[in-house]
Amino acid sequence: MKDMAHDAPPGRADIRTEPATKPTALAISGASKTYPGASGAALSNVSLDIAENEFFTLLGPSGCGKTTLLRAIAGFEDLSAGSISLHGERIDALAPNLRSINTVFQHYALFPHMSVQENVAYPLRRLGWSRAETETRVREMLSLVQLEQLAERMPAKLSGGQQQRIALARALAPNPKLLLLDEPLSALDLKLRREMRAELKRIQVETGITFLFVTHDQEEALAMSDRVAVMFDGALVQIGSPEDIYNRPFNAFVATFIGETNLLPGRVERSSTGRDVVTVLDSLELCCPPDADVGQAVLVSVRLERVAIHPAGATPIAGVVEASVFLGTDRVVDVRVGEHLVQARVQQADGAGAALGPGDLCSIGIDAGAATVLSSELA
Amino acid sequence: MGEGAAPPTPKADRRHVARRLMLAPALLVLTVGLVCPLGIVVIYSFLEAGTYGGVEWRFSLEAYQQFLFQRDIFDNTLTFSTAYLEIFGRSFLMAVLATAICLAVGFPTAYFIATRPADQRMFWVFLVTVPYWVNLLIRTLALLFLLRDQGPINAALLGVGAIETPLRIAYTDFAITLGLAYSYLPFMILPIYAALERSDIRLVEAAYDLYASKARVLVDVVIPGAKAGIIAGSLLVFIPSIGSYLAPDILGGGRELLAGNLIAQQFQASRNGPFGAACAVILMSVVMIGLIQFVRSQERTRREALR
Repeated sequence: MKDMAHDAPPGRADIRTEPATKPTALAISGASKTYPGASGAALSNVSLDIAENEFFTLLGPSGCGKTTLLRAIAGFEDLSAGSISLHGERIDALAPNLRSINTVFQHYALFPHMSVQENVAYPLRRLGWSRAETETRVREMLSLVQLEQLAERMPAKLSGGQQQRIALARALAPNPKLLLLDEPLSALDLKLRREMRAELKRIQVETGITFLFVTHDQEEALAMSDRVAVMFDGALVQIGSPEDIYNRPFNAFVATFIGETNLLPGRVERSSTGRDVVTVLDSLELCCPPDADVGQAVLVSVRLERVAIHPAGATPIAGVVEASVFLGTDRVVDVRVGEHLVQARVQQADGAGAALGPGDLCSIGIDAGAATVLSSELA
Repeated sequence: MGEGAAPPTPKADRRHVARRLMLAPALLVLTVGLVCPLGIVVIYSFLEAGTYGGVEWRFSLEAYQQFLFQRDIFDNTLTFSTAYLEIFGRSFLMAVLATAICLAVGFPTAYFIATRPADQRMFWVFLVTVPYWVNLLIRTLALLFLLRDQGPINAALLGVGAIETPLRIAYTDFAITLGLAYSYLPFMILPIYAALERSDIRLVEAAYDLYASKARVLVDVVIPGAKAGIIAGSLLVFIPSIGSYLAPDILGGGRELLAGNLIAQQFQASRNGPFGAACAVILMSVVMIGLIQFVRSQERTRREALR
């Protein structure tokens, strides 16, 4: 799994095709971390560049190493190997207080014995800002997070969402070169989380500070990020724009971790026209990745919303409806096609699919462009 | 305690009664061990001293008068005297000093223990308590042997030629203060350790992340976080120190009186129970009033903080 990212076939949305338009803010090279006594590596050979002003997200399940990487960047963990540079300067040997990086912690970590404005002023006082500058900056930050009226409050008197905003204001106040956000929304309720997503994005654009956001919530990652790095088992699996990783997942892990998908087995075959193609569901022919051999088994990912349901006989792929679940705006229909189960997400307004019930005969249509061929090793 | 005889009640009431009954043993101990003796002391302080010890059962304010005024044995006039006030003042100062020493020694110790890996902490706490398996009297005597003119400290200093005549350490105020600090040190370490252990490591990281040096993290986050433990520890050292009897008696040689020795002396050699009782009541009242004021001011700042 770890090697996949590095052996990625060219022409894919893999980790080596990075946009080089903006200067690099953070460069991580070969970062590895092994805890003494642990069986596997917490981080293995992670390399990535984050551009200035970028909203970059590390996405992965718990235990994938994203928090270890974040703590190494902040200075709370030492790397076993590799380097971290900020604006071209090596920082991995510096203490946290000597790095121009601030963190918004998962549980906010506001100082309970200081008022809101004392909290926000804290990093500025440590940096030796003058009293006047500090006061101006604190007011500016509180207005940025729209909580000017709470300047005198103590943290214990704030709601979770307010504490979150103050933690953000405090971390942004010294205008760091990089802001780390460690699952900052996970302690908030769903409604507040959605609001804060838009708010975070607005603040990132307004301040122009590079954000490195860590989350296990794929929806958050897709909603806010310029680019997303998907991590699994201590290694990077795929880096790309949200659209990239959603539409062209590199492997089955990315395909299933981000959004819902059908994973269908396919086989590389020589077609009648002499080209290599991947055949799925016996009849659908897809473009073949250039490095695949004839006869090789592969996995194909097809997003649920890219599967269309038609009346029986309309397409060559015939199936039987097994279940149809109403979900509000849309409906998920399970269709049995031979030995495979294909799920389709159909709009309520889409008459053909929505009207079918269990046992009804139908046919399904998959656009060749909607299917992504994955490496079978990951099946 | 009439709950036991209460008529049958709904379940909730019965549980309430049961909970009250569970308090009964503690209440009994407090009544017999605290309220009764304290009552006797207060009553004693308002009686007349018997000529050959004991008390005469006649109401008198003589004992309290004696604390502040000296009665001339010839013409029976009263003159204001600060002798006893000075003894109380010196006791207060030494208790403050002992508390300060305990804080200076105890905080780093507690911090050290609290920053050990979780599975090692209990071992260190255990080590702190080891000296307390030995009786306080023995430990105080041992300290005296260590500090006296012919003791190992002076022997070592003489041996290396640092001094020519033995340093006078035993039977000084310094020795008493040292003895007090040594006697009550665990009462400082343990509450501070408990507070530090419960404090939030994430706040330390946050301060460190926000450009605080390690020293600033200590002052800005760690110490405020351990405030409750520091206060509790200071009270636990100060209160027994101010009334302490053993350390001043042994390490001070009983030459300069402290409050504890003064009180003991009245009940023993001076055979003036009412005056001893009055001194005890005055000492207790002063400490209690001070404590109540302190707790009130704490409450006020806490309420202001939550305004």
